[in-house]
Amino acid sequence: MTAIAERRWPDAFRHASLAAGGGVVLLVALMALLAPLVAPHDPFLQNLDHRLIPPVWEAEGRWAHPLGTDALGRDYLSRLIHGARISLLIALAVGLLSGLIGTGLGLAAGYYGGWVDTAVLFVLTNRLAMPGVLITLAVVAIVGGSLTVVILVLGFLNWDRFAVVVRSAAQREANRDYVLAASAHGSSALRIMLAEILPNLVGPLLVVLTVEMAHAILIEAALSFLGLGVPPPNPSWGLMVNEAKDHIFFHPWMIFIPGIAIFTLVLAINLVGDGLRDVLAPEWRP
Amino acid sequence: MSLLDIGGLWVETAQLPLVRDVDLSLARGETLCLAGESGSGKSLTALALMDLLGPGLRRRATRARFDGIDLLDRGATQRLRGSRIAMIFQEPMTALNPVFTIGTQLEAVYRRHRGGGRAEARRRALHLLERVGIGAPERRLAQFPHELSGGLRQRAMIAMALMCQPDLLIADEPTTALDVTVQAEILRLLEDLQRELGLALILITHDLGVASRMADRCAVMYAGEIVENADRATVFRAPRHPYTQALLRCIPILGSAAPGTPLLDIPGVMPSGVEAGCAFRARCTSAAAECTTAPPLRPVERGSARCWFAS
Amino acid sequence: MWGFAARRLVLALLVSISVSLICFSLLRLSGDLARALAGPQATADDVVQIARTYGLDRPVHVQYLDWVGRLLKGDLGTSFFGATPVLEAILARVPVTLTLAIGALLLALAFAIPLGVLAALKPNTWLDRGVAALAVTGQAMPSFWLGLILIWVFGVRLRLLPIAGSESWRHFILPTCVLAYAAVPALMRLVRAGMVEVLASDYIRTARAMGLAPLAILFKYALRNALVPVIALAAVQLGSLLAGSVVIEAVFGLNGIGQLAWTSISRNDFPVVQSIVLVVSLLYILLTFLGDLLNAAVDPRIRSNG
Repeated sequence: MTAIAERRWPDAFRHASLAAGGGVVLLVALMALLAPLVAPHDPFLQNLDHRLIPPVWEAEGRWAHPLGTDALGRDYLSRLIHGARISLLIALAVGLLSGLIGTGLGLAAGYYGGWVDTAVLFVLTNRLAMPGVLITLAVVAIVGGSLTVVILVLGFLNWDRFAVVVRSAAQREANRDYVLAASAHGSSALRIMLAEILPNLVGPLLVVLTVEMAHAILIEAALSFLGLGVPPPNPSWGLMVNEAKDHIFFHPWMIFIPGIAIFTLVLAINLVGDGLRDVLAPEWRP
Repeated sequence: MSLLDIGGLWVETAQLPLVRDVDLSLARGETLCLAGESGSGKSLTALALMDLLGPGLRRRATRARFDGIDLLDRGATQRLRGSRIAMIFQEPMTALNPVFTIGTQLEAVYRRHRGGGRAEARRRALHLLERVGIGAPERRLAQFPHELSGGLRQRAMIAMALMCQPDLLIADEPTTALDVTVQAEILRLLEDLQRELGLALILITHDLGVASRMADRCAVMYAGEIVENADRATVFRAPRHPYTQALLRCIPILGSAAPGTPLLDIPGVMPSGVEAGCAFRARCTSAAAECTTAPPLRPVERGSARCWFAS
Repeated sequence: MWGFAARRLVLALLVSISVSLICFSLLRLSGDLARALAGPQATADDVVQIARTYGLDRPVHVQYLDWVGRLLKGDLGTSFFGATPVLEAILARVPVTLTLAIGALLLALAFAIPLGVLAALKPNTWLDRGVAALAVTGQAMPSFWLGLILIWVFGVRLRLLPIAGSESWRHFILPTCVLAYAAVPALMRLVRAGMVEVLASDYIRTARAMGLAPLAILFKYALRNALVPVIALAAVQLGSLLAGSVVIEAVFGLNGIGQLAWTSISRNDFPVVQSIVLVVSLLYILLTFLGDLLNAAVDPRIRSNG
């Protein structure tokens, strides 16, 4: 029947998008891991004789620099490849740090309930009320910009989604029979939370992790774009856009390339996250 | 002339028929009970009649007429809904819109079909709320569904169904979700209203006790088919179909057995797919070789039954 | 309703107080404020002098209460650069940022609601998937980059719109579009999910069973039910838009609060930074409070339970 056929095609499309997303993430991860081997040049090497060479598809482009060079003569492709390291590192580190904090708070709130829950909710409300971007900017300005600082600040500010999800899941699980049984057997609260409840939350946790990873990449890019993230001469993609914006009139490709990289990676992570959600937490499907 | 005449009604998904070859008829003022267990297809039959089937479900029928109007004509059915045929559902908690007052919802039905201003609709709503036994109707009119108890909500639903004086009311398990004491009140209310308004009633239920009280005629459904259709006396005192017989045997009668005697049931479960032969064959105590061929619904004395051995 | 509002108000006040505490201590994070202000060349005497001038030698809780006291009188301090009172500086920039944020929210809703409804009416069709794809790209797009691209397309190549500044309404078109594009996905998903659930609900089935007109069922009833969570989200989104305008204002050279925050942060103008963070937080708390009230007004069940 046509109604059923109508429904099959979009489903196939959804799996294709998940495969594509996963493929891209893997590709970027490989690229990042093997950066020194894959990149044709040293991303920090300046060559003032070869500044602002356009990419190969333009008239003056050459294959020695397939994506051209920037204002300091550094090879764009190499910077792009090394930039992947920064993005993925930020994604993983921030994701894990904020995940740890958020999960810890959420588990405590969901399992203990009562005043612990109220306290965690209050902390959460405060965190949500404050403008994360502004605080991050302020802290980086005071302390100075570096990869470590960015990771720490973002990690300590972006745990809210984890906390919310883990809290509601933990609340649900806390009343289940297996938890009551473990408690009756004399297991400590910590043991119950970590060994009994947490394994049941892996699905939703992974989904939130992908969301936060994508989120972290976008924030770092914005921070570096503003000059208050990863400092130069590091090839952060956001920083590359910043350095390119002065050349918007004559060399627009310099802005396009790193932006497309950010967009593609974030999109891919989001698609993977959507796919994971469909498999691990289908009740969240919009 | 009968008010409702349905013949050869089928409801199916792409994979599976859910209601098969159902014939129903109803005269004015008559009560027909559609009885059967969960999944037998009784609700779907009613929804098909009203053209309220969900996505993925299709209906077809040889004939479907309400007072001469063709129910297969979607436009015509749309006009009948709420004005001449009304339906109330099982869960009064969720059947009313939570963000609108009772009054708004009742008045909307009236104004949709009869036109008229708010004042007229409000008067009618107040009258009906009182008629269905809701005290302090002015206050209730301004309240939201969650402020009413289950019994009151169901009464309000009945009032909503009656706003435009329908000829036929379809009640899909109206008392299942309510307390036993409230059940009896609602049934009594339906009886009163029927008598006063000359309302025809199709009552869908899995409770044979309810059916035996309310029905003029009773159609028993099993696995999407009607297996027995007769007047009340026949169905409840001299049923022809083994399924009906087994159901009645299962009803415990106080004092008839020694304490500790286990309650009877019919072993097995109702099939969900279409089987070759009689659908009840696997659970029937009188099944025989003929039953591998599906029996048609045959007229028997004072009714019809779908069994080779019904005489 | 009033009980509900009162409870929410108390919560808002408590959060405001704790937020002010956090704001206050945030600045003291950097160590000795007086030394930071004095700069690297300062002598010990200079530092003491500065501490006394700015009242930094008093006990911390006294400083805090003094600060709150002045806040309540509307005195947010003075900028380190020039003598402008901070409050004045902020108020001068508010219109720009507010126009941007509210404009973006309205534009986002104007797209999100119809698209969400359409997607819900035809779930799992190509239309639905197309709309979902739009949402997914909106979430993946870095807004500062989109801003630059649009500037390049419309400002440089096509020369249709101005590139930077905030003089005319034309200057607001691109930034509003960029902000809206980022806000659409979440709103649209919520509308779609809400509509799908509502359209399958028992009470909509009742409405159909009572013969109500299909268009009325869709727009007068179903949409009303589905929009309840959207309103709360919209209020919260407004808060995020306000806070997130920093980047957009930087890209488009708009003279709003974000720009002020940015310049103050880069030159360590602490009174201004502290005040902006506080003001934005308080605004967010206010918006959440209003969002809760709106929610309760629209969904009567919340009034009894909240």
